[in-house]
Amino acid sequence: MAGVYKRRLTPESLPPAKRTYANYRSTLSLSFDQNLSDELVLHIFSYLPFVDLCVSQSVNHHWARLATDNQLWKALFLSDSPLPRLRGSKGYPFSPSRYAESRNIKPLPSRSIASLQEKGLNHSRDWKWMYRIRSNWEKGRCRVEAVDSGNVEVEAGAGASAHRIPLPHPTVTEVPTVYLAGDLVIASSLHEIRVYSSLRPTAPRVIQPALLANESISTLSIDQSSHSTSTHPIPVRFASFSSSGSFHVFSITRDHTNISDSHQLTHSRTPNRRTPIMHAAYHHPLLVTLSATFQLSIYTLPPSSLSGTPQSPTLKHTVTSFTSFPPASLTLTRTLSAASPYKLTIAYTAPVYPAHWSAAVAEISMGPDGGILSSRNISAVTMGWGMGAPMDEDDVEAVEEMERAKEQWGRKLRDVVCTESDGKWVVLAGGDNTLQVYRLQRRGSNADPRLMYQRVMLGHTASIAALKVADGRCVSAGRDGCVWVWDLEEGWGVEVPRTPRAPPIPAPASPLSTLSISAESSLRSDVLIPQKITFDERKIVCAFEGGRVESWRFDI
Amino acid sequence: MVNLVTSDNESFTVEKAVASRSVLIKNMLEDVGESDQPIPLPNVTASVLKKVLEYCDHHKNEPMPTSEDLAAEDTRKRTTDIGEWDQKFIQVDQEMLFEIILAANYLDIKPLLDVGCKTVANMIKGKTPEEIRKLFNIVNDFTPEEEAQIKKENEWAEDR
Repeated sequence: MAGVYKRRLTPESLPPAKRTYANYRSTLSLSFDQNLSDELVLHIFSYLPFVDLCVSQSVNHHWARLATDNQLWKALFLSDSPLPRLRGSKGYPFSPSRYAESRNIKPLPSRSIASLQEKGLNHSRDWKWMYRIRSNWEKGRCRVEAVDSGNVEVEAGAGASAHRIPLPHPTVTEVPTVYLAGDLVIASSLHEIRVYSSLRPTAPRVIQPALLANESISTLSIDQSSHSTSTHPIPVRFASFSSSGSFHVFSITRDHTNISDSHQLTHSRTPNRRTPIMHAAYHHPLLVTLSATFQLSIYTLPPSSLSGTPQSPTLKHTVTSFTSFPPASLTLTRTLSAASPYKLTIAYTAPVYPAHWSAAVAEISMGPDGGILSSRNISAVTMGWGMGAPMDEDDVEAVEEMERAKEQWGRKLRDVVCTESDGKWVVLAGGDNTLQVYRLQRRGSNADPRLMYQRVMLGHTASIAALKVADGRCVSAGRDGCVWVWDLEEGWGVEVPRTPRAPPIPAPASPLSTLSISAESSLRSDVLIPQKITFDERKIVCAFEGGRVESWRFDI
Repeated sequence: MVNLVTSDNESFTVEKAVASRSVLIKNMLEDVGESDQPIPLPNVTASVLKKVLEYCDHHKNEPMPTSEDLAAEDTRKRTTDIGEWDQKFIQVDQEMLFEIILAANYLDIKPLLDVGCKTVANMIKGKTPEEIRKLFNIVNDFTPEEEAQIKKENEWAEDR
């Protein structure tokens, strides 16, 4: 280390001056640019915050070269985020040992890990760009784009009502869902799935899964086992679930000119199931579904068929919970253990007597074949006896534990509108527009983890309509269309800019009806309710009612 | 006692503990063993060495930074805080500041090098490019187009 500074710098034998400063107050015999070696300038720059580094880039060519040094920005990036987590920008060089030390559970699906490994090998990473994306997230600096302006005719109105199909299940309303897979945006509405690609920004690919007369699409799930990027587009698999419990698996391939899909697998409705699948997690070959009545099914899927004939999955397990309530969320994570490589985290809402709710989590460990190895329930509210006054007042731990339990009892919510988890953090959106943040805290390898209250996050002024948690970051959308980004670790939140809604392009019609549609749309543009929100390291994508899909890009 | 000879042939006799703040001198002393031979420092002038030795004398009783300290520095949140005495010590004109940085680099006195570099960094902080150019006597060699391009590229960092 010390050797770095041993290089001799000889003021006597400097290279000849490139420029003369005759016109300046040239009393100095030493100057910044000519006497300080690159190494020394970089040392000085290493003490500058990012704002000043950016300013320094404008000084002259010499400064610009040094102020954009990749190693300098790497050190800055790492020192400004000392916690060994991914920060959503997936910014850490992958180090299995360090990662293993920091936690037993990977909070990210393994496609992200694959990308880390891939990126870790890639030494030409642009750290300034990474810093910039992270800074944009922190400031809420982004560009809002409409991925799909939505179907005008789906909106309510005399003419539109004819298109509406009566719903078979009262629990399934028309809820558009949206998912991200690399450069692809996959959105579903009642009867079709639209796939948008940034490589091909024109029309989306529309997939219509075979549905029975009364069926509709209830949710989608994207295969997390493969990682697709815009530079390495590989086929993306996803499963589409219907309101009666059947599902289909599709594979999407695309290039610059085309998106194509192939039907991989069909699973018909299980005879004894009547309720729709509301949540699903897919990590090929494992597929986990959660129905509206909290019936959890674990399937293993056969390898991709090349013949094009859809195959059938194998049902491994079906388990039911009578004490779990919606809203819920399902997270499938990979662990480092070879014996139990999958961990399923179900965040749900648990009742608190007599009329309130609190957060709870069920953790299920699964073997490589999808067999359930163990399961446990962790509730934020401690139940039963044993939390009363401890025998020994000096038992600090017991007193603290009692205080914690008491406080937690007071945090019960009258309404919970959304629950989301990433396997480590659990976020509860209350009916009072607040977000309650919990963390699954592990104490040793054998003890049960605890669901510890962390903080409440305030910002929304309307009821929360959609929520997503991944990688210690949370994105929430209110019914008023406000979208917030939250850092769960540090506790800050920032509202991203509102959508500047351009008036929708009216459908070709008579001038009179065009006018009426525009007027109606401009009125309802204020009340487009977000239905489903998701994000990756670079962008947020939100599906609104009426099929409108918008994205907020932070890589600008 | 150690005898140091500067580039302008001035000789300084200092305690070994003072001279050993310089890793360069410390290593030299270890290599040659006990000797009365003067140590030539051809890259340092008397006025600068006097200043550097003032620093070394003040810090002579502090533990030398270990290699772990140096390694930890990269991950630690960087701070430009400078100790009270050091701050007074480094209140010199720009030329002397550069001289001290160059000498600290040559003599391998890491804490002094850090103080010097932090001081320069503090001078840069919060200034506009034009103010920085004026401060260090630097000519802007960008075309207006290049300058506009860089400004656009760094819009994200501007305070809102």
